[in-house]
Amino acid sequence: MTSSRPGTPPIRCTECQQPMDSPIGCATCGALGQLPAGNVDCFTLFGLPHRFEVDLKALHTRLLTLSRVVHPDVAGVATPEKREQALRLSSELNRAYETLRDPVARAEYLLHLAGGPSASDDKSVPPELLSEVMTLREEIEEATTGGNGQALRSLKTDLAARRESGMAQLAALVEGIETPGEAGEQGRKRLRVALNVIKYWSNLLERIPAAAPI
Amino acid sequence: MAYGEKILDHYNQPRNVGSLNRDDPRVGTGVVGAPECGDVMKLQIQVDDDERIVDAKFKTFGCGSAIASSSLATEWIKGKTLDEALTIKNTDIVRELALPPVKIHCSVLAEDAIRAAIADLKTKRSGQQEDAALDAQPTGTK
Repeated sequence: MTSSRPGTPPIRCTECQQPMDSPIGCATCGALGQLPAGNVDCFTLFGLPHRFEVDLKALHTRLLTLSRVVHPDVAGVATPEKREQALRLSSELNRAYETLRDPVARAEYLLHLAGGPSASDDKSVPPELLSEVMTLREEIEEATTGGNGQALRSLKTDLAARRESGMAQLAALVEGIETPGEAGEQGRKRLRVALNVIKYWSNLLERIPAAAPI
Repeated sequence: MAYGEKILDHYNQPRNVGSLNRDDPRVGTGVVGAPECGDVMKLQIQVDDDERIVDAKFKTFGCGSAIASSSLATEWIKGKTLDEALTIKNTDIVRELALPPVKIHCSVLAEDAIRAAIADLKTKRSGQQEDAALDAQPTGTK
């Protein structure tokens, strides 16, 4: 997962001929880019390699730079067509940003790019996890109806810790998903299972009322 | 989204909510879940000596369609043999409850739960048969 900009030769701005970091638009002269038809790879839009590690601060800075280029009020003043193009680029950019900034969505996306199964294709989780989820949902329901703020807070802390420890494994698991052959398939399966588990913890956390009584 | 009458009926008055004794050798337990939405479903069956399902209970944490699907599933499998219960397809549940396309995964979960409960029971039974076979063996001279 260390190849840089897979499949995309260095691109140059058609207006000012300067190299462009992103197909979204030219940060030098402000010309809008032309995206190929179909889905555009989120990493490529930000000029990033297909890697799990992402510098969030740099990602945000790049979002701001590119957002200025494709802002419909800036780019769209020339013609309605330009405005239309700017709107499309802007929405692609924001979609890609949302995917890349969240580690779970990012790992999910890398798994998808590597041809791995989706959560509905493969629901596997470690044995006993579902029974545990069931028990935790019961506990959350009881504590919510009983107005037991202390129980809710401790459930929240516990679940957040489980989610964190799941997320801490993602970087290592992503490493194994593009290995050729059987090993890669097992690697994708392992990442799928880890992401499924994280989804259960996240979902349980959402069940805990935000304003748990104190 | 407007829910159909039958979903609402099962949702408001779910049939067979509860638990059976997991350790009972005549009870099979299936716990399944959908990671995308976090729904979890437990379905338990109890069989008689002819492998006919005499009781079924469920407990579901999920949306109305998931609750209705599992409620309907327990109603349908009661009185059936294990083989008959295995013929129930999620599409039957979709049709009966008129589930909208976005809720089809709930019916899949119910079908998976039936299969998991039956598989659990069968595993338990084959374990028992092995135990019985071992018991039946001559105890030797130890």
